[in-house]
This record gives sequence, C-alpha cells and structure tokens, in this order.
Amino acid sequence: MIKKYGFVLFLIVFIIATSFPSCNFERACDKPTKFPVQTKFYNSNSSTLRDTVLKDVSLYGIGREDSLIYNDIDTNRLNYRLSPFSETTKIILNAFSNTDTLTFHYARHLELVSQTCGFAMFFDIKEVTFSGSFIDSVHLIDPTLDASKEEHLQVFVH
Amino acid sequence: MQAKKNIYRFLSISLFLASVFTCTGQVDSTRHIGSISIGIDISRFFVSIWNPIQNNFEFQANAAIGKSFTITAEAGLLKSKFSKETYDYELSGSYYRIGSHFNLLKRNPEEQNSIYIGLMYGFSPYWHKADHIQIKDNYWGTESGSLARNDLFSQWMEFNAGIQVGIFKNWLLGWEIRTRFRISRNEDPVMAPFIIPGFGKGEKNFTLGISYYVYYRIPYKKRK
Repeated sequence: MIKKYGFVLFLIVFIIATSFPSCNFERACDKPTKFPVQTKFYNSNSSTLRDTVLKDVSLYGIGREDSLIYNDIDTNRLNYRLSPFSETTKIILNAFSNTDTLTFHYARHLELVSQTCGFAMFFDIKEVTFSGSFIDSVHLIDPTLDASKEEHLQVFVH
Repeated sequence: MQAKKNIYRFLSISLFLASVFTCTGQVDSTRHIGSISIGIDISRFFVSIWNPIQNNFEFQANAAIGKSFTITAEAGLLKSKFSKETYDYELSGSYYRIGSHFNLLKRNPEEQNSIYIGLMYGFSPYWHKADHIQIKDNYWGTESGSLARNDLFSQWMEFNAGIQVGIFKNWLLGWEIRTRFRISRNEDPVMAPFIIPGFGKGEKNFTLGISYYVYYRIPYKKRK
C-alpha cells in the first residue's frame, strides 16, 4: 500500500512543506494607519481637572475651508487628523460664537505598517500654539500620535 | 524498475524514518569514499507559485571530509516584485551559507544514504525599494511618493537536519529542515523587507524552512 501510494504521498508532503515556510496569505489590514489628534476640553477656571462641553462647535483645517470636520455639535472631545503632506497644520475651532486657531508644528515620517495595510504617515508633534480667543492654554500629553492613546492634547478653555 | 524502487526507498526513508535516526543494521567499514556533491533546491521553483517571488534559485556544493563530516556551501538568488493597491515593491539580492553537516549513520562505502544534522552561517546582501506610494487621507487628500533603493545586509545561523537518499548511481534526493536565527541586520527604519533572501520573512527573527535537493555526487577517493 505504501509503495502504491508513496509517490502521491510524497507530492502532497512536498507541496504542503514547500508552501508553509513562506506562505503569504492575504489578510485584512488589522493595524491602524490613521492617527488623529485626540483632543479633550477642560475648564481652565476649575481647581481640579474637570472636562467641559463646548457648545455649537465647528472645526475645519486651513486649506480645507470648504469641508467641515465637525459642524455645530456640543462635545467635550474632538478628533481630527494632521495633514500628512505638510509639517504644519492649522485647525480652526469655532465655539461660543468665537473662533480660535490651533497650530501644530510636527515632524512626520513614512513607514510601512504591513504588506496588507501599506504605508502610513507617523507624526511627532513639536509644538502646539493657539490664538487665545477662548482657549486659555494647551497641554500636550503625548507628542507621538499613537492609536493606543485615548488623549493626546488637553485644551483648557475660559 | 530499479529507479522506481529507489524512489520508493527515498519516500519510505524520508517519511517514516526521519525521526528514528537509528544506526541499526548499518555496516561499518574502514573503506572510505570521499565525494563532492552538487545540488539544486527544487523547492525554490514551487515557492514562487504561492509567493510574489519571480526568481529564486539555490545551489549547494558539499565535500565529504572523513567518514561523518561534510563541508557545505550554498548560494542563491532571489528577486521579488509586486504591486499592492497603494504601492509597488521590488527586492533583489543574493544569499550564501557555509557550514558543516554531521552524518548520523555509520558509513557503508557503497551506501549513498545519510541522515544528518548541521550548523550553518548565512548572510545576504540585498536591496529593496518602493514606488508609487499613495498616502490617502479622506480629508487632506492623496499624494504619492517613493522610497529610493536601500542596500541592506542580514546574517543568521541555521540548525539543520536532513536526509539524503541515492536514487540512481551518484544521483541523490534529499530534504532538509532549516531553523534559522537572525544574528544581525542592517535595519531599514521605514520599511521592513518583504523577505530576506535565504532567510525568510523580513520582520521575523526566527524562521523555519524546508529545502528539497537533487544532487549529483562525484566520488573522488577510494582506499582500504
């Protein structure tokens, strides 16, 4: 029996064995490739760290005035992405019928996340400035935008 | 008929005796046949079917030293090129391994078969690059770029175990299980290589592989 089917068995083992060491099955991308700035708002007048809800918030990036990321919402948290094509991004934030500008200066680098996910732009924030209309101060918690973090930037408002 | 018999013999030994490693029944002899063998890894052609590898050739040369030891040198070429939705990738390089195999069977002068373990050092100079990389952001838009050719170098150690069986006079078939441990690499911080020629997946520090060789053996010495 072994003799009769030996060669077939050899071929099966051969095919399986030659394919498994470097098998390259396509899988769906299971890693993050976009890294938004997770921003939370706090009351600057509070002696303890207390979040605050902004009313009628709208938000867009300079250069994309035609496209609002948020429009007329009430929230204590905003997520938005930096431009992967520049080293400075200006974000316009409207709230309390006032306008403030957050300016991000950062370094960026391209990296291959995986064969299936392709390339992603990674950011390292160097400085955050603001115009000071209703924003009192900002605190950068983590300059490296990491998908595992729930909060990168604290914004204290009057 | 004899050839068929020898193939069955190879199959039987390969599939069922690989883990036995027994010397029972082998005839020890003081007569020694030295030899040089030249082989080609036929599994490389099949690997290309399931992987985006266009060219992968691997050759082996070994010389029997004494009764049990074999000095082995291997060389190969690998080229890979593929296109994904957001980038095109290309890699090319050569690889080399040198080491020694120790035959676990007591040598019979007329016997070509062997079951062996081995230790090898491997290295690969290679390069890779990526073109037409698209960075897509549904708010900020899409731009494309490329990463220029980057020359890289990796080194590893291999622990091997394998079998060689004579199918005709001086023609042998053999397979070998390879466990590879990376000992150094010239990192590319931007892009891990798709594959390291001769080693395996670029992001791994340990890989497992199998080679199937066809050898031609040239006996060069006979003494009693």
